[in-house]
Amino acid sequence: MAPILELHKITKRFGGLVAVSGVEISLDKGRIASIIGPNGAGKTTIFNSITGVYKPEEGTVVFDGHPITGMRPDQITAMGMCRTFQNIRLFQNMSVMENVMVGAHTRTTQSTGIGAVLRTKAFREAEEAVRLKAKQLLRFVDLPLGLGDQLARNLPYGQQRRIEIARALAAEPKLILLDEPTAGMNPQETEAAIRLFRRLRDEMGITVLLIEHDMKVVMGISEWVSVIDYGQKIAEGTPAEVRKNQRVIEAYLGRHATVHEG
Amino acid sequence: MSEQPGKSSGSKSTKRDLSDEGLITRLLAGPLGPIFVIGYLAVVTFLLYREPRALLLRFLLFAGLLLIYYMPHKAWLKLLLAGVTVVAIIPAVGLKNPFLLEIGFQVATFATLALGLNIVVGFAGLLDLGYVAFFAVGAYLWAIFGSQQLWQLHSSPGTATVYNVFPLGAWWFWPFLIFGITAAAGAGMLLGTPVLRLRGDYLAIVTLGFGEVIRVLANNLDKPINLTNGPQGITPIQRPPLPDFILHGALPNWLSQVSGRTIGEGDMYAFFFYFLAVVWLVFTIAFAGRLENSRLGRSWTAIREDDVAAVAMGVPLRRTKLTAFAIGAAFSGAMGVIYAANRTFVSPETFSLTQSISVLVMVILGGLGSIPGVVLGAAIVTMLNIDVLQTLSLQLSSLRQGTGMIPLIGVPWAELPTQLDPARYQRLVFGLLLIIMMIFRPEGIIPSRRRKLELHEDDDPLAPPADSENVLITSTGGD
Repeated sequence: MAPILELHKITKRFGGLVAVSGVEISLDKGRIASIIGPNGAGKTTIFNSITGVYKPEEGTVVFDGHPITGMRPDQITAMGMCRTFQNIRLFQNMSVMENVMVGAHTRTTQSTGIGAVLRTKAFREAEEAVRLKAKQLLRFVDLPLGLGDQLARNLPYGQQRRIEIARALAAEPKLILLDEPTAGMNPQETEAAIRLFRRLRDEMGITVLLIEHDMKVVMGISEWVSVIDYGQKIAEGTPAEVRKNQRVIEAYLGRHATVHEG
Repeated sequence: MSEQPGKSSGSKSTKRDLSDEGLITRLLAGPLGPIFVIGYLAVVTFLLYREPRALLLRFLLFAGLLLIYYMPHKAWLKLLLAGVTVVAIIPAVGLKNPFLLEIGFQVATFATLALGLNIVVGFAGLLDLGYVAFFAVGAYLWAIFGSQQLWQLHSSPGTATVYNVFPLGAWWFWPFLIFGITAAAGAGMLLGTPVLRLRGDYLAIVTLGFGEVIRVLANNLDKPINLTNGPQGITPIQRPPLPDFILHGALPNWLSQVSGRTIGEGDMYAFFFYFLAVVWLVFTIAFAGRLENSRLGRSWTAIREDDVAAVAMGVPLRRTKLTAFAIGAAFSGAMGVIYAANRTFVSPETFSLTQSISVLVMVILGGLGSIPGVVLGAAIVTMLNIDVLQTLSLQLSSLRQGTGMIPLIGVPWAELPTQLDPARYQRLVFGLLLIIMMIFRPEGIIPSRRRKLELHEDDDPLAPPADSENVLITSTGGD
């Protein structure tokens, strides 16, 4: 299958610090893949370089056949890539519905304020369509019913995570990037989250790229894993391959560590 | 969480209203509410008609509008009552005391400015300390083209013009309303472009500088080309032409008879400007309110809340911020044109930093991001400014001329130092007001309530009766 995302020799420096160095990643369409690595390995920097938050010093990012290096994040989102954040970044003082509606920004067509001021038919229809879509997405991520008009900040952590995913889905992405989406969740919540990630691919046909810490999540869901350490890719392959890789074990668990099957 | 299926949505919404609005709304609920409000307005109007100069009554009349706002009734009823108050009662009392129209005009003017600033500061979260600059752009635009200033470009300030005619006819006022909007929006973009990358304090300082630049330009552009006439300001500025039957015909005659006071051209213009400002204010309220609940409005709020996340969701930062600056500025640009025509005079003093600050005070006092709050804030600050403090000063000075003694301390009023004039304590009063607000109600008098989206429980796809149980179970398992 054709790759939906390719990173060619991505290097990102902060002053003298090389956060990411010559990373090559290729992600096939329709996969659920993960980037893993110890804390500070440069995973989030890779995410930020893909989504346009950072401009990598070297290398190119190709998304769906188009080079996107140097494009602004909003342009990249418009092309069909959307993300969530490691520390949930919902619009705290907006309602749940509004959060998801903002996510649909690039998929609604009221380009000027004129329609909004005149409350034209086109405006009302577009608005109604966005609202309906937001409701459906909130339902898709299994948000308990009736929470649409709550302020985002008033909801518990696990629900905020779901809303963030719904918000990203509203942008109708072909590829969704989830930055440590199960961080801070208890085992049941993690379990439910993994089910949700699978449904993103199975029911919506979205390619999923995860950054994950939790080995259980990674191994349970990923079909392809890239391992990053000190800004470099040290291994990749199927979960089974990666977990046997000696360099990965050393990077993750320290030297002389062994992993028991289970 | 658990919604009881049998519960009607009607009772739920009234319950929500009551708990949200508090005491005044509860008192005004039911069919007695409108009757009370109408009675209140009638009594105040009657008293004010007999005692047109009573400060308290003026205040109570404007407070009537607030009562109407808090009524928990249908929107059309509230609009009707507010409309009658603004279109009929205030002008009617204004026949007796034209000062009421002046208050109305200024409240509408500053409410418009505050609403414009509210788009920038309240919606988009970009602190702008030089907002009055856009007002100045509109005012000076009409001042320069609507006066004889264009004949004076090469003479030194203060020279009398040798021409009798104005370079542009007075009717140009109307197209210049549009030009004022455009010029101010352009100035908004001009300010917006260099500050796009700045946040918080830095942004505030640059906008403060921008405001001062405009004022200093107005002050100094009398050389080499005398564009603004310097600190002396420009006068006379033309007022838009009104048809003769309004200015001289049967209408003013009839009004004179009704009010028992000679209604001249100036009075008719006072009515005209009052209505013009109110119309523009209403337009601004509608415009801002509708923008707030649209894709653009949501983008503004999103940027205010978290610009990194907003951009990641596809909101173009640059364009969204620039639209906020441009639209916010546009409202005050048109108001500037109206203001210049109303005063027939502009000078740089009107557009000082303190003016910018007091517009900001209106926004913060009323409630950042809340349209009704901002209008109320503008009304309070403006009335304090031009009415309450001035009236107190006047009364104090009349006491001073008498022979009375100050109670308790036994000093004659005449010996009270003039430094204690309330009108001199404008800024002090605002400062105190702000401090009190920040301590006890930092969200403003009428805080912005993030709009409750109308989730019709009946047709909500989130709550289909067949699946609802299922979803609930997932939720308890998931969270």
